[in-house]
Amino acid sequence: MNKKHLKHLPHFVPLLGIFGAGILAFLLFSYDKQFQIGVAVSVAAAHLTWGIVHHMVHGDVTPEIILEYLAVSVLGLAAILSVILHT
Amino acid sequence: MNISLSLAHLLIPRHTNNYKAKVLTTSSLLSLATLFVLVHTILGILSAPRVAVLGYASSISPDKVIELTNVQRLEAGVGKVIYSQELENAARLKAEDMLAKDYWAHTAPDGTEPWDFFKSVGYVYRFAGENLARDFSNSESAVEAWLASPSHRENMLSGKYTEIGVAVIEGDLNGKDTTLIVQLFGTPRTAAPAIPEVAAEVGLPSVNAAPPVLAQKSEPAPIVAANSFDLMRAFTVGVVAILLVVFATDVVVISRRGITRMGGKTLAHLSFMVMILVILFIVRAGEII
Repeated sequence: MNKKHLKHLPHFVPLLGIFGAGILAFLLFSYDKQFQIGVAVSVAAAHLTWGIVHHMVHGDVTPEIILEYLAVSVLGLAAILSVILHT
Repeated sequence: MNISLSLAHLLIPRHTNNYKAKVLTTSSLLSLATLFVLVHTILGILSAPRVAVLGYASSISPDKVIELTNVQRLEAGVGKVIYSQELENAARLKAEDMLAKDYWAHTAPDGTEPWDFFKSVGYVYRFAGENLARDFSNSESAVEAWLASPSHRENMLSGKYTEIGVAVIEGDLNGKDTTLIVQLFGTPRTAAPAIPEVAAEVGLPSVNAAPPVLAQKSEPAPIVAANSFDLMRAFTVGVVAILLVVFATDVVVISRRGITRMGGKTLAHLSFMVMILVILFIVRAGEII
């Protein structure tokens, strides 16, 4: 792992922690659809927020980058909700 | 040849796409999100009762639900609950009421409470409880979901109950083909509370009679085709898995070629999509209240 990667490590650890918590929440609350929807929205929002904060810290945030994170978040949310709401 | 070039343009970072796979552009990602919504809507329409192109893949039997419940009760050290025809009738009335009035709740919109169904079949109870489930494809997954929920688990494993009745009914609920499971627990006013299996073994009165096999109890309708939940999940998992491979390829190619690109962190997107894929495997059909 080089210096460039180490610089990003403090940012990626909390992001991976959030995603891990999301998976855990789905496992523990497998019986609660409303809670799962809340978790899905939260992790998608967390991904978007993380992207904006990360790029702001590195001074390279642009509208295109924000749109890219938004698109990935919306895609992930659509994937989960289209399945959850199909029951 | 043209197809392979088009696929490469779509999926691999190269000079033709300015070193970013076409499918990973913002507009493509949003198009895929729209596609999920469209497929969800189309499958919903195809599985609607009036259209019914897609079959219904439910194989739930009331006997199996009772059997699985008793297995869990024995493991928890509480006595078995015995089958009650009255409770089954009450459960059937409740399920029919939900379909007739189009609601999914313990209490009907007109204020009818679960206890009213006990009373309507003449079941005078000391204790009573109700678990509801819908859209599960088999008895095991419904029982597992109840066990995962503290309040439903408490109902299933409560020593207060001595009897059980289960109804499984398929029908149109809010315009959707639905399988409803109503599980009612009760203790008649005259009965003693359930006696743990251990106590029964030392000669105390036992309430552990196995549920009788009813001659007229028919097995559920045969499986017609894969249900729309499985199709929706298979489609979504497929698309997300392809995206994962494309994101991973992007990370490797960009890193190896030392290309500097203005844009979001692909590694962040990749880990997000990994989480989505895991969640898609965790999510299961069915809902309980």
